[in-house]
Amino acid sequence: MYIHELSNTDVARLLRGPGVRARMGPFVFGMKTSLSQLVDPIHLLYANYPLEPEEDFIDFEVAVSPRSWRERWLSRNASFIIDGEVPSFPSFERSLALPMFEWAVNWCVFTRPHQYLILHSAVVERNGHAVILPGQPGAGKSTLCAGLSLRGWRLLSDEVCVMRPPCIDLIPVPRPIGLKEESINVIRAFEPGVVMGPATPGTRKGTVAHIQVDAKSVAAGQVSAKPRLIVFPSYRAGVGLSLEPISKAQTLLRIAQDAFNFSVLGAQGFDNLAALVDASDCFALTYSSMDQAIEKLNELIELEPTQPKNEMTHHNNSGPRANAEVMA
Amino acid sequence: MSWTLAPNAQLQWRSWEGETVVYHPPSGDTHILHPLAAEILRHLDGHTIDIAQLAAHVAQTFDLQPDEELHRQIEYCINQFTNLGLIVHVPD
Amino acid sequence: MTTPLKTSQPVHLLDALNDPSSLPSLSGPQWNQLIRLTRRTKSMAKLAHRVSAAGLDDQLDPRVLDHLLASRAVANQHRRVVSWEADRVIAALGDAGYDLIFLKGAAYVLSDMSAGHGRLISDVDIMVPKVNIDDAELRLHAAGWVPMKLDAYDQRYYRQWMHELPPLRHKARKGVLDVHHTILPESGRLRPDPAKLFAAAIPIPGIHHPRVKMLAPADMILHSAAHLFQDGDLAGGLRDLLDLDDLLRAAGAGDDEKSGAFWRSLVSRGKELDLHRPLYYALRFTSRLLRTPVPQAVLDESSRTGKPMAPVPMIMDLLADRAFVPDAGQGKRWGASLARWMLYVRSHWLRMPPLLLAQHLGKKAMRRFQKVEDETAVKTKEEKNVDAKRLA
Repeated sequence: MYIHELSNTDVARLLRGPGVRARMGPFVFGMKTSLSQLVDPIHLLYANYPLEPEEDFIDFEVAVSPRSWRERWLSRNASFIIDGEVPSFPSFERSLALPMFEWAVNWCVFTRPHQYLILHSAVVERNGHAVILPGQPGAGKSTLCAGLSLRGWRLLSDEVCVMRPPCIDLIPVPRPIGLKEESINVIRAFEPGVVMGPATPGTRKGTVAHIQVDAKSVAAGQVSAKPRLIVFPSYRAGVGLSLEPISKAQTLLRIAQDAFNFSVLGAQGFDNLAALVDASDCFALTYSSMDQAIEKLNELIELEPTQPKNEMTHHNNSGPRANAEVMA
Repeated sequence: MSWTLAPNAQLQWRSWEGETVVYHPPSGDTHILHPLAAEILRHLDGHTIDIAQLAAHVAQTFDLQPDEELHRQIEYCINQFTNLGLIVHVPD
Repeated sequence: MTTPLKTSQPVHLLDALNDPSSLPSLSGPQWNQLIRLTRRTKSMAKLAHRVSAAGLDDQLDPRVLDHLLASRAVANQHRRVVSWEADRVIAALGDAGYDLIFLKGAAYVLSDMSAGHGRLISDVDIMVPKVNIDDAELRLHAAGWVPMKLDAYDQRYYRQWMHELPPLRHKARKGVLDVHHTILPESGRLRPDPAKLFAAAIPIPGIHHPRVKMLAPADMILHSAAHLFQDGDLAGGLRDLLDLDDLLRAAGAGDDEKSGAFWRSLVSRGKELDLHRPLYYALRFTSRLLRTPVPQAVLDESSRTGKPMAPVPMIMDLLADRAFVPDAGQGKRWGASLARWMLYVRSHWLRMPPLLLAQHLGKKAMRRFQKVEDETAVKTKEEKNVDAKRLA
């Protein structure tokens, strides 16, 4: 049974009770809330997910509710309750509940599953080739990711690039894409039929809205993808399209610095990231037209890889080794 | 004063088009090295040598003059590597 | 656990830690509950380690196992970080000409003891002779360790009342280093003589440096006991109890002369160091809650020297039970909090003159609500900056 097949009343009852359980990639989430304002948005954003059975083991349980009698009746706030605990984050205004809920679900993926190497990038796939889009906030990666997902690319994630060392296959964690401020209008103009949840003004990033995860991406949530390109996107109004190769060494450093758990995984994390960078062509893409950027990426994935592989692995006291086999 | 690679450094090297990255598991540090620094560090693995010998080796490898400037650069690298815990000095 | 649970029964955390063999038969909801409990008590890594040591990985549901694997990854990172910090401390102080003793978690990790496995360690603690402490501070400063930013009140608290250096933090690596000259604050009621600890200190296996040491096994146990039942912060209560369990099992294992000598002299060493009361509680609670195999003769001996007047033992039992293991359900957490609070108050009473106690507790309560640091992965400076941006 899919979540869109449930009635609104059923969804509300589940959210208040045992939780709405959905599998997002490798993780089963239990979603709970006592706030009626969240029922419709959750029903919409997660419509295409199958409902997981109740006897299952849940990986993470996320609730957004007032944490106490006092908070419920004497304030207009709510809190995160993650796995039954109120973590040491401050309460927030109830009007921000939806973006906060989405943030809390993301937080569980960012900070806990260290059996994976988790990078901070969007990942999309087409014709068996995956493109990794790392990016500082504000560079436009979420917008471009959304655009690609609306032009036939499969969404693996708008936030996390997940691998299970020693393998570099990319693991999907399909979730609603978060858009901020102008991106919301850009995407609405780009694809008027886009299914979006409500826009919430007043968050620290401004107005935030989320795109419903499409059925195809949810259905492929257990299908990993081979990395092909790493592209640092940069939206700049009024400039033409430009594509510059970036050195693999620089790419590795940049991605490592922005990764969620590179230092937790130690040498294994380094090996994996080096293998990922080795297997991918790396570019910086500056653009002002999303159509052109998407067209460029469509082209690139059909070409043969052009950038060189690692020239050296050298271990302590053992002398230089011939080029290692890249694990792909 | 001589130097050599720290015991159990277990350095992991990767190199693409002349840019070298080295990972040091005990500290979890990742370094990107220019060719001179990379060659110095690589040469200290398995050798216990002083600055003069390093200068001679580097000069030969890169076809440079082993002058005072080169000595200074090597000293700078040695200090950096020592502070980072990658190399140790060996008493004479 | 010898009898399998019905699938709906709540799992007792201590049973799971004591004997993981029944874990493969737990249901999904039971695992939900157990995983949550281990997160709240910061004992998942220890459970994960014991599951692995018992060879049970393959028998667990892969998604459940993944959570344990994740906690192992974090524990391994902590071990690496602590090992490296210790390496740097030795580089800074090893040639100074006086003894350098690693304490607590750092000692467990460096010597590869079972107490150092599955444990999250945030700080490195060392002890140097009091007469050398200024020199140590200078050398550490030259190597990049500076006092953490503390307000004037806290600086005074450390230097004047506790007669200690405030915690140091490394400028580049951000690791915290606590430099002690004794194991309990001088302003407290119990005063183990540091000279005795230095005299009995032993080399750390695997570290071949004449000055680098750790406490003797009995002293390590007494230190841990004092820390748990004396020190203010009981948030790590279960974790410290698990340490004691590991330490006691390791020191007392086997039927040989060495372990026999250890048990025979433990209580008298406790008396010698003025720590027989904390030792009494340590032996009592580990043997009761974690089934640590403490010989009855030792329990009796400890009881004779360390047991306080009744009804204190009964009250302590009630308080400690509830403080170590929160209720399985979500309700009634007030019980555990109240218990922990009362133990906390008692600990501070033992440490500070009563007049200062109220003032200090007031300040501490305020600061507790400002503390945001999660005891999860150790973060690099870059990761922390990125986190700060992401939380915005």
